[in-house]
Amino acid sequence: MRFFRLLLNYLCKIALLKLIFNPRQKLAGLALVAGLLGLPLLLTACGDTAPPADVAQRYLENIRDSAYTSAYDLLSSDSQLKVSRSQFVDRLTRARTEAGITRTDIVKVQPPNIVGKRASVAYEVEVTTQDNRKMPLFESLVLLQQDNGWRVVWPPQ
Amino acid sequence: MPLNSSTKIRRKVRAWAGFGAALLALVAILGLPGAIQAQSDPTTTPPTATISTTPQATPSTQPGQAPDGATSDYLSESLRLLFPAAPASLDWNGLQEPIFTSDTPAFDMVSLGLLKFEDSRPLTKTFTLNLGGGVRGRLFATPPWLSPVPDRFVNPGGNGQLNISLNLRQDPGQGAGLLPAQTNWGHMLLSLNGVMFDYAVPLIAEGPPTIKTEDGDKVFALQKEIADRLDSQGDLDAFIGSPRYPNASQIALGLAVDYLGEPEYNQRLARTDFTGRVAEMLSQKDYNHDGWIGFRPEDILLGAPGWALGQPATKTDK
Repeated sequence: MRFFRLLLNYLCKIALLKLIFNPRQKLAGLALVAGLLGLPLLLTACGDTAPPADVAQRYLENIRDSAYTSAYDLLSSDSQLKVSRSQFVDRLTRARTEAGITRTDIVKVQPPNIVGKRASVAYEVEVTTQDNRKMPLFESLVLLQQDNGWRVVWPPQ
Repeated sequence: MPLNSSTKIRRKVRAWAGFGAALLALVAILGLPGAIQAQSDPTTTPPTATISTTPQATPSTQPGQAPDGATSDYLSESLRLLFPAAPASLDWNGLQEPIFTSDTPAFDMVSLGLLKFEDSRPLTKTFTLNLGGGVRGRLFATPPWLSPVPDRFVNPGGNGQLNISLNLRQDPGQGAGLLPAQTNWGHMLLSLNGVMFDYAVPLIAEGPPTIKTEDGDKVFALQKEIADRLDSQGDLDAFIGSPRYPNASQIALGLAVDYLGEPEYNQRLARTDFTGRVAEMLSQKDYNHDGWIGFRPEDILLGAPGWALGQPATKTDK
């Protein structure tokens, strides 16, 4: 595979040089080079640019709605390597049942504290249990900035 | 100027060559993304390192099942109390080869449910391990509120089943690290013949009745004061997380609820002192140069949680 990539790279360089130094197609060649150099930047820019608080809000909304499959998409890559999607869905569903939680409301999501590529977002949720007891929980998510945007570290501790 | 057919063909060939070169360049620059994506996709790549070396010990939770305590090789509780640091007699003699399968998870989560405020009933959850072949195991748990029993065992051979009780310690003196009004995340490492399995053990702890849903602003304001204190020392990263406190911000929230719920440790610990103590605890630094990091013994007497007791500062902690 490595040999194949090197060969491709070599062929491309020859073809591009020919294109650039051909006086008839000089402009087209330069445009092509500029486009190719800009493409990776463009692709990076297409990643999730949402700030950490928005990602945390989306994650919490998914958890609130028991949409664990969607919540899984917002986990950091290390967290996803640790737990599979089906395991995540199964365990969170079970945890909610075992805690007797019937309803979760998001009360507040605080502005993030960001240091480099790590962020912390504090939030308050109110959970309602089977005996209709309401209790506030004050928690925090740690997020990491990855190529695809800010992602949630799970489990949180 | 009219073009002859050979010039037209030459131009067409050149145009196609240019297009081909551009395509090749694109593939080379992007580095064959399809292949790399497939390698890094967590759903398609099993953790082979653990699965291929995993004995057949399929942990599964059975909440309703009572522990039977039938673990013949487990060091008795009385001996453990006498020699708490002594290892159990985990002898390899006569141990059979373990049975290896590919369905044992390297990570799992065992939820302890919900603990109501001032609920003194013992909270226990049984956790069953199905052991196949010769298996020697140990369980390590943190923080101290999580206590698995037994924490070491041997299955000399054949198929065996071991019930492990996950107990919650909430002794008021040491408090064992349980924080109010949040999901506390315990962590267990199970070593089976040297292969490690990771367990997350969440427990939701209800907060004090004095802290209600509408008190969020008060709690977050105090938490922000702790963050500001750390930031003023250039240690805001310790507020996000450190090896000692991976989610330090949540620890700060738990302590803020504890402080406000008492309230303010019966007005005997000033707010600035409290935020300073928590900031020192999270960064492990002595900001006020009193030779002590975090909560002092006298703070514990005032109402700060016993488990949060700090320690004397060394020269490197300043």
